[in-house]
Order: sequence, then structure tokens, then C-alpha cells
Amino acid sequence: MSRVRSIVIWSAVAITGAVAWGVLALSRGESVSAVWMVAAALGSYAIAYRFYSRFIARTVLGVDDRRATPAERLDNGVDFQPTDRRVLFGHHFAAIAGAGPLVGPVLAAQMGYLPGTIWIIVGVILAGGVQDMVVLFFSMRRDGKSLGQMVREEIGPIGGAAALVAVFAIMIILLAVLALVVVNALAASPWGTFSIAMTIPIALFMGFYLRVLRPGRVAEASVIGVALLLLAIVAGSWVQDSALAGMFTLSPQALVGCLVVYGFCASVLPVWMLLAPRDYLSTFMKIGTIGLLALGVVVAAPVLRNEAVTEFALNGDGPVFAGALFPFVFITIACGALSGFHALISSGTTPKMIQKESQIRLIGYGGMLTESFVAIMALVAASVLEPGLYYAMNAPAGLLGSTAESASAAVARLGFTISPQDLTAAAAAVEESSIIARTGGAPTLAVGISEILSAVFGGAAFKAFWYHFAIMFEALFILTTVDAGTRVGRFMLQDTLGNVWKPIGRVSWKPGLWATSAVVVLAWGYFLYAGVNDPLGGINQLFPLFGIANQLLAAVALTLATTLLIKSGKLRWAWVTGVPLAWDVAVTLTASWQKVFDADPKIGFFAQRELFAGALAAGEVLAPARNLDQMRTVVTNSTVDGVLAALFAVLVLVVIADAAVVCVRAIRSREPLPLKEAPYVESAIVAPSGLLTTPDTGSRPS
Amino acid sequence: MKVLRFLRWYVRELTGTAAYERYVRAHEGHGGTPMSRRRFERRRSDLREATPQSRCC
Repeated sequence: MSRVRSIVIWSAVAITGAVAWGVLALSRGESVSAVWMVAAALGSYAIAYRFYSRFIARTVLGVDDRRATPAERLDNGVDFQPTDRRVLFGHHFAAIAGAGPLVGPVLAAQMGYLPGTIWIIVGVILAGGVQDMVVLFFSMRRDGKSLGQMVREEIGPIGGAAALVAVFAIMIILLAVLALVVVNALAASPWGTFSIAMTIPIALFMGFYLRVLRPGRVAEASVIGVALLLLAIVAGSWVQDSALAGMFTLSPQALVGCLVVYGFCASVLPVWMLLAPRDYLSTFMKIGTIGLLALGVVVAAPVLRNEAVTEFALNGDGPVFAGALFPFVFITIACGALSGFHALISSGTTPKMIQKESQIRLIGYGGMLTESFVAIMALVAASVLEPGLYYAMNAPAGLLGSTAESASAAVARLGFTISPQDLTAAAAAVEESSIIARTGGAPTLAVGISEILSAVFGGAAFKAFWYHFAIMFEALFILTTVDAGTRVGRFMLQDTLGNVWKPIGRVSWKPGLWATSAVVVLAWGYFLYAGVNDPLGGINQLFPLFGIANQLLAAVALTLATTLLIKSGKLRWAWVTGVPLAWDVAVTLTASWQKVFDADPKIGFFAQRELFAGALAAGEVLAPARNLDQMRTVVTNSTVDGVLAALFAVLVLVVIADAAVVCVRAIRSREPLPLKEAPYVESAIVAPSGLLTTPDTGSRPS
Repeated sequence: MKVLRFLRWYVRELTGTAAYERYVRAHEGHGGTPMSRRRFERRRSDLREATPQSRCC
């Protein structure tokens, strides 16, 4: 491409993005189309990918395509295997994308669409994409070592141990909150519960098909699976109107029981039976739905009904989650802008499959940009809803009461309007008995998605179908995450306990496997149960903890990255990961501090504990609790949550302190400190680095 | 046509449907008989058991 043409194209991209940003930021009162949000995002991503990620890859990290990657050096055809960059991008994206970027932005919509949009886009460019790419690079240079191993080897044993405990604890909270999202979406919904339940026999059938009938024909089995899945969604509506409806109308408590039993069984069954087929199904549903939604937003061009910045952003009194814009909007959005969990994937299987070093840009940075785009879509879906409906769905049940009248009155007290008739009509349109206090983000997103997709495909008659399609789509991969996460947690537990008592460390020893699985399931099951029964609303209480946990894990990853840059003599470039690290630590520790020490009982866990414990001692019942038992529940939950928030912060501070010592030593030392990098070997593979092939390096599908 | 061919290739690669053919091709160089597809796929899925992969949030 000639230089002039390139300059013209990139200038056009920059101008489009800038105009979109201008429209979003400056409109007040007039209606803004969601297309502007998409344009601002895509324009910014293109510029960031073209310029910033290239600068990081070439100048900061110094990727070297003459150097063989672990996939080439250690190729064993199993886990180490040079994989086409576009295929690996698909694998990596399927592994990082989950419910987080869908749910977080929906909740953050309580602050208005503008703060969320800014953080999702700026955050991914300067923090999230950087973290994913840099961790991928460092792990690739160390033969695919995990985050925990790298912290232990490059920072020290204390930091390593703290990181390990932090990862495990964070995993438990993550699984509990995701499971809570599913419970809130399925409670008292026979349609949803039936179609999700059907995914189990569908996955078992696919597993059997792939194991026995036609081994390895995954594409074929997936087509059958997706067709059955769509049938299950349609059949859900028949079940809802039939005598079977009672069987699938479950209370939140009953659903907790189902999920805990499912989590245990799924994690001890062989991978081929349930996990692998589920994984294929959720990958296809994920890619398909996100594509559909992007198309829907562009074609239907819905208008944003949410305000740009709501008053809750300024006073911190929002009903969905408490706390001011700083730090809580960042904590709530979490995964769509910066996700610590991605560091586990970037130091998992992906680095073992990269063909060429320069491909970390497409896979690490590009993968995260795509995830951020998903978060933008979720924010669009939440922001096209009438604010009154949004708050009637997302404020806790304790505030809204259980009838359309009480919810309408409560929403009016918040400063928004929705009539009881409109609330009943909105529930009827998606064929649910009620949509009041359907917290957790998933139902709101589903209503938003059904709004957008029914405008393009099928009209109003299809609203209920699209709603349950969206619920299925979210629940499907949350359940996959619950299964996979329980396995990873168990693996970590077995590994650690194996140091103390050998047999438990053996992966093939069944009693050890069952026992450690049970421990992991009961751990997240406890928080799930506590969340479901919390009078203050489980999402309201636990979601900030989930966000803090995730962002603290990102702090561990960015600390490692900064330490490694300094250790490799690149102090002058350490700001690339150092600045996002400083920001992330400031946000997360402020949030942790407020959650532990704030005197406002809506925010601080211990202030809340004191308030409720004091009232309990005096025999009083404080709203929204309705009896002394609920008062005791609040006291227990706030104590546990407060201790956990403090524990997360302390663990991460230990890692940072340990790393700081190493960094100071590295800066003072005349000789560079030793790195645990794998040795240099000349590469024999020729492959392009970007998404598109250029004529000189051209490769074709083989 | 080219797009369809690419899509087919992509889906087969992404899902691992093509893994066996690649194994057989790689095996041809070494001589000896390659594993049957059934055995190969079993081994592949059993190996996943030992290295659990996290799915993200």
C-alpha cells in the first residue's frame, strides 16, 4: 500500500472515531443513536491496534520472528503445536470471552452510558489489551509457564505463594457470582429452566456421538447440537404452557441445590462426556450471538434511552450497586476493559500454540479488543431500555417489593417512571411471570437483546423467543465456566495438598478427586447460597467483591509484567505496564478500602455489620430484612464479605511489595538480573504476523 | 467460493476436526501404521483431562 493511501485511510478512521466521540460526549437531552457508540469503539480500536500495539510489540517487547516459539521447539502434536494465527485467535477468544463483559456493563449502566463507554474503550486500549498481550509474550518466552509459576520464579516464593492463594480465592468468588447470575435468570422461569436443563442431555448426546459414533467429527456434532439447542428454546414455550410447567418452576434455593449437584457431577465426569461438547456449543453460540447482535445494532440503529451520566454517578446512591463513580464503575465493568482472569489464559494453552512471536499482537491485543467490543454491545443493549424498566429489573427485591404497583412506586422514588401496566406488559412480551428485581444483569441484557433483535428479525412476536435465546446463551457458557473453573480449582488444590500428602496429588486417584471437587463446589456453593438468601440482594453485595477480585488479579499480572520489563533492562519502557498497574491498584485498593472501612453501611461491609448487629442485639428488625433470622444472615454475610475483601487486598499487596524489592535490586544492580527465559533457537517456520496475508509472506489454508 | 472454502477450513481447524488428518500426514514421514481415528481422538480427549483449561468470566 502506498504511503499516501495509508495516511488517507488512517486519517479517515481517526476522524470517524473522533466525530463519534464528540456526538456521545456532547449530546445532552437529544436522542443519540447506538451506532455512535459502535463507531467510537471501532475507530478507537483500529487506531490503537495499528499504532499502540505495534509499538509495544516491536519496541517495548522486541518480538523476534527469527526466534522459534515453544510451539515450534517443543512440538508434540498435543499441547505444544504451531497453530494458524486465525485459528488460535478463535481458541483464545473463546477462552477469554464469557459472561463478565456482558453482565458488568449492564450493571454499570446505572451510572449512564458515557462513563462505561469511556472506560471500556480507554481501558482496553491502555490496560486490558496490554496486559493480555504482554503476559502472553512473557509466558511464550518461558515455554508457556503459568502466571503463578512465573511470579514464583521471577519475583520470589512469598509473592508466588500469595499469588497462588489469591488466584484460588478469586476463582471461588468468580464461580459463585456467575452461578448467582444464572440462578437469578432462571428462578420461577419454567421456559428458561427447561431449555437450560435440556443442554445437559444434548451435551451428553454430542459427547457420545464424538466418542463412539463418529469420533472427531466435531463440526458435524456441533451442527446437530446447535439445532437441538434451538429446538429446546422453542420447546421451552410449549413446556411453559403445559402440565410440566410446575416441574420446571424452581425457587432460587432449589436452583442453588441443582447447580451445586450439577457442578460436582460435571467436574468429576470425564471431559469428553459433558465439558468438551458444552464447550463447542457455547463457542458457536457465543460467536453467533455476538455477530447477530452487532448486525442488529447497526441495522436497527436503536436510540439510547439511558442518560449520558446519571445522578447516581455523582452521589453514589445507585440501587444496583452502591458507591461513587470512582472507583465502582471500574470495578463493575471489570472484564470488558481489563480482566485479570485473562492472564490465566494468556499463560495457559495459548502461548504453547503460537507460531510466530509477532502474532501475540493479533491474538493477545486483538482478542481483548474483540472482548471489549462485546462489552460495548452489552452496554448498548442495557442503554436502549427505558430507564424505569432498567431500575425495576435491577434494584434489589427488598427495595422493589414483589408487585408491579410496589415496584412502580419504588422506581418513582428513584426519580424514574414506569407504570404498573407497562411493567406487566414488559413481562408479558417476553412471556415471563414477572421481571421485577431480576438482578444480575443477564435478564436485563436479554430484554435489551430481544428489543434489538426482534426489530430486525421476526418483529414483536419473536420477543419472547429472543429473550430466552439470550438467557440460554448466557447460562450456557456460565455453566461451562462453572464446570471448567471447578476443575481448575480442584487441580490447584490437588497440586498444593499433594505437597503435604502425596496420594491426594495424584490426578487419577478417585477418592482424592471427589474430595477436592467437593471442597471446591462447596466453597462456591456457600457464597452462592449466601447470595441467594441475602436480604440486601446477592448481586448488590457480591458483585463488587467479584470485580475487586478480578481487578486485583490484573494487578498481580501487571506487577509481574512490569517487574519483567525492568529485569530485562527496559526500565524506560516500564510505564507501558506500570501506568495501567498504578491506575488499577489505585482503583482497586480504594474500592477495597471503602468496602472494608467506609462508615456508610451501604458501602462498608463492617459498618453494615455493626448497624445490623447493633439492631439485632436490641431485638429490632431493619429493612429490607423482614425478621431476626434475616438480620442474622446480614450480619454473617457482611462479616464474611468484609474479611474476604481485606484478604484479597493484603495478598495482592504482598505480591506488589515482593516485586518492588526485586525491581529496586534490578535497577541498582550493574549486571542484569537473571531471567528464566527459554534459550534462543532459530525458527524454521514462515508465517505472517497479521490477520491478513501480505503477498511476500503469503500463506494459504492448507 | 473462496470464502466458503476458507470457512470450511476454519471451522474444521477451530473444532479440531482436521487434527487427525494432520496427525496421519505427520506420521507418514516416520513409517509404521498410524493410530486409528477412534484411538487418536480418545487419546486426545483423555489428555485434556490432565490439563484443565480455565474458561473466563
